Amino acid sequence: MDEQMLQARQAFIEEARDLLQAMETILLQAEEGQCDTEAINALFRSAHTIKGSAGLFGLDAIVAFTHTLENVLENVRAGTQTLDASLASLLLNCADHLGNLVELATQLRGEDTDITVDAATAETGKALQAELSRYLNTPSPSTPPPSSRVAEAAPPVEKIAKDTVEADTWHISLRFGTEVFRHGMDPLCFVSYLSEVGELKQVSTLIDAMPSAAEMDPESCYLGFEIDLHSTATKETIESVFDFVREDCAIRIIPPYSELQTYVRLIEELSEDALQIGEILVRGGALTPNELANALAAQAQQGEARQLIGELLVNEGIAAKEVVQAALEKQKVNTTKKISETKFLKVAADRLDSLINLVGELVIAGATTAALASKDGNAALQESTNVLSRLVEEIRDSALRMRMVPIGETFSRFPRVVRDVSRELGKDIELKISGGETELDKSMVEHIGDPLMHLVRNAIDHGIEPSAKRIAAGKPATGTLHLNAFHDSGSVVLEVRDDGGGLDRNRIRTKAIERGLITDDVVLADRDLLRLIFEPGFSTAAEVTNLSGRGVGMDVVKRNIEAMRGTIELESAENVGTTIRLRLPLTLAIIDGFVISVGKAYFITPLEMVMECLELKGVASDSHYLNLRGEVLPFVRLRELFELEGEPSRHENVVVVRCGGQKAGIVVDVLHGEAQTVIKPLPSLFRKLRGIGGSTILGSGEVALILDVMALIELAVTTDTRTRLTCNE
Amino acid sequence: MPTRHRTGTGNKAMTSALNDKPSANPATQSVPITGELSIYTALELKTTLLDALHANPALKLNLANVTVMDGAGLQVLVMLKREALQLNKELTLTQHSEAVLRVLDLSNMTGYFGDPLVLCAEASN
Repeated sequence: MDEQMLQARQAFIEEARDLLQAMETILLQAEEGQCDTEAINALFRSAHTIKGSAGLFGLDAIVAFTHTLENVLENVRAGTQTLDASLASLLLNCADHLGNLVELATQLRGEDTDITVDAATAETGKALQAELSRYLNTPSPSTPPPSSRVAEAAPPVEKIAKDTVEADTWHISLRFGTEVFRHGMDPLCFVSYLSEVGELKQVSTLIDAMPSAAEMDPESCYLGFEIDLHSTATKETIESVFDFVREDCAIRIIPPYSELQTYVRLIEELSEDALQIGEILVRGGALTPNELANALAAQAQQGEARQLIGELLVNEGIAAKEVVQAALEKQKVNTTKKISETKFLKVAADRLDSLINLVGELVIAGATTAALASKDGNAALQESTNVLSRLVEEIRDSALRMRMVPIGETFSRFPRVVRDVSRELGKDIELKISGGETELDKSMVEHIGDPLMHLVRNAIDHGIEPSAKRIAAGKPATGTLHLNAFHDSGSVVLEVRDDGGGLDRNRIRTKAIERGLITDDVVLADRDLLRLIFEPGFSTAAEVTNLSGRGVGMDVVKRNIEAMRGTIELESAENVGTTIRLRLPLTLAIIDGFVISVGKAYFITPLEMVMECLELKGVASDSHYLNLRGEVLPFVRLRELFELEGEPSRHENVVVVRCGGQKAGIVVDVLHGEAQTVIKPLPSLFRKLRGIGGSTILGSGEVALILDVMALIELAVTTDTRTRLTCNE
Repeated sequence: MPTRHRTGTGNKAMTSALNDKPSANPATQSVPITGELSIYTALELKTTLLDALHANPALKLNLANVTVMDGAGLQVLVMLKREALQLNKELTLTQHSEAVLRVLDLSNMTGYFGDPLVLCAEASN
C-alpha cells in the first residue's frame, strides 16, 4: 500500500468516526421518538458511505457487518420497518461495534490490508448481525425482496425496468446560434414548419441565453426551443426541416419511447439548469414526473453523488410537482454542499502550533521594536511601528481564532453517556445542552473532555436522586442535567448543573473528619466546607458504584482544570441541586495584558479582568480593604505578598480586577499600560507558587510574571476575612 | 420546406412621437409600434423602447399596427419585459395584431408576457 493510499485510509477512518458520531446523535433522538425522514436518510447514507469506503480499502470485516446494517436501514427508509426504540437501541449497539472495528483499522500497519478482529469483537459482531437479521427476515407483506434498490423503493417499476419513457411524442430540442438572423432565417419559421409534419403538442421557448438589456444585441439570436411533436413522420423527415440551419443550430431529436438514458443525456448536455429543462419535459408530456426523477437521479449518479438515487426514489409516489421539486432540491443541496466543503481546509495541528509560536515571537520582537522606537523619539519610526503592532495584533487574533473550536463537539458525546449511565442506574434523566456554539481553544477542548465526563457521571450518580426519592421530595420524577457554556469577561465558563439533592454538608464534614482532613472543632465557612470535596481521596458516596465514588475524581478534575489556568466553582443547595462551574481562559497562548510594576519587578494581569485603576489614598498602611464608591473592596499589596524589596512609592495605585463575580484590588507602584503577552509556562519548580500563572518577556527584554488573578482575589478576600475577624475579637 | 423568410423589404417600423395618447394611468406612457417588429427594426426599436421604459414608470405598447413580427421582434419584447421586471416597472402589451398573436401563440410565450389578449378586428390587416 503506497503512501497515498495510507493517507486516504487515515481520512476514511476520520470520516467514519464523524459519520458514526452523527449516526449516534440521530439514533438517540430516534429512541426518544424524534426521527424524521431526513434523519433516516442521513442514517442510511452514513452506513452506506462507511461500507463503500471500507470496501475501497479492502476492510472486509467492516463491509460485511455494515452490509447487514445497511439492509435494515434500507427497510427503515423504505418505510417497511419502523425505527422504534428497540431497533434504535440495537442500531446504537451496532454503531458502537462499527466504531470498534474502525478503531481496529487505526492499528493497521502499512502493509496490512484487512483488520484482524479478536474473538470477543467477532462474537459481538455475530450476535448483532443475528439480531439485525431478525429485522430482515420478517418484512411486512408489502415489501418486495430487497434484491435491487430501485425495485425495493419505487413501486412503479415496470416502466423504469424497461428503461424507456411512456411518451409517444418526439422530443425536439433546438438551440439556435447567434448568427441565425443575420443569415436571413427566422427560428420561428422552423417551429411553424414543424406543425406541417406533425401536431405540435407543446412548444417551450427558452430565452435564458439572452444577456441583460444593455448587452443584448437585437440582431443576434438567443432563442431556444423544446418541442414535443406528435408525428408519424420518419426521423429523416423531421430532420430535413432543419436542413437550412444545421450549421447554425444545435438540434437534438428524441424519437418516441426512447430510452430514459437519452433524456438523461439531453438534460446533461443542455446548458440551462436541470430544473427548467426537467419541468419543460414534464409539462410537454415527454417525461412523467417519475421518469424525470429517475433521469435526474441517474444523472447525479453519473456524477459522483451515488447515494442520491435512493433519496430521490424515497420521494417518489408524491404529487408530480413535488417529485420534481424534491429531486431538484436534492441536487441543489448536493451542489451547495460540495461548495461549502471546499471552504474548509484540513491542517495538521502541529503546523498551526508552530505558526502560533512564531506569532508569539513576532509579538515579542514587535514590542521590542516599539520600545526602541519610542526611546529613539523618531516620530516616523514610531508611526510605522504603531502600524506594525496593529498588524501583528491582527495576525495574532486570526492565528488564535484558527484554533478556536465550538464546545458543542465535546458536548455531543454526552447524550449517549447520560443515556447509558442513567439506564444502568435506573434513573430517569433528561440532558439539556446549551451554548454549544461557544468557542474555545482546541488544545483546551482536548483536555476538558475527561473532567467534564467525570462531573457529568458524578451528577448522574450522586447528584440526581432515584425517581421515587424525587417524587417524595416533591420534584418531577425526571431529573434534569444541564450542560451550558458561555463567554464571560475573557474566559469561557462551562456549567454542569443538576437538579438533584445537592451536597450533604453533614456528610462532607463527617467524612472530612474521618479522613483527617479537618479536626472536628474546626469551624468552616460553607464555601470552604464544599471545597473539601476537591481534596485528594475524598468521596461522599455511601456506596461505591462502578461509575464513580471511588474517591478519585474531584481532586483530579480540579488539578486538570488548574493545569489549564482555569478555576472551579461549586454551588449547591439542599434539595435544589448542584452547579459546578469551570472557568477557563479563552486561550492558552497569547493574551492582552496589563503591565504593572512594583519596585523593579514587572507583573502582568490579563486585561479582560481589569475593571479600573485608581490611586490608593487615605487608607491605613495595614488595612486590606478600601471604600470603592460605597462598596467594600478587599485588596492585596503585591509588595507585601511577594515580599518585594524597597519602600512603597509615594503614589500607590490600585488595579481593580474582577473574576468569577468577585472583585478585588491589587496594589502596585506603577501602571505601565497595555501589552500583548505571550504566555510562557513556568518551569515546574515554580508551579506551586500561588498568585503567579506564568511568565512572559516584555518588549524591553524584561521578564514579567503573569498574575493568577483568581488566586489573588481569593487571597484578598480571605485576608479581608481574617482582618475583620481580628477586628471583631 | 421553409424558404429564407425575408426577401428584404426593409420598411422601417414607425414609432411615432411619444405621449400621443393619454392613458388611464397618467404615469403610463403609451407607445404604438407601427409596421415591422422584426430583424430589420430590432436594433432601432431596442433603443427607442428601452429609452421609453427608462423614462417612464410604466409603458404600454400598442401593437395594433404591427404588420410583421419574427423571432428577433419577439426577442426585443422579451428583453423589454425582462428589463421592466428588473426595474420593477410595468410593461403592458395591448391591441395585439394578428402577426403578433401568431408569434406569441407559436412560441407559447403569451403566458410569459401575461397580458390579456383581445382580438381586434381593425388590427387584423
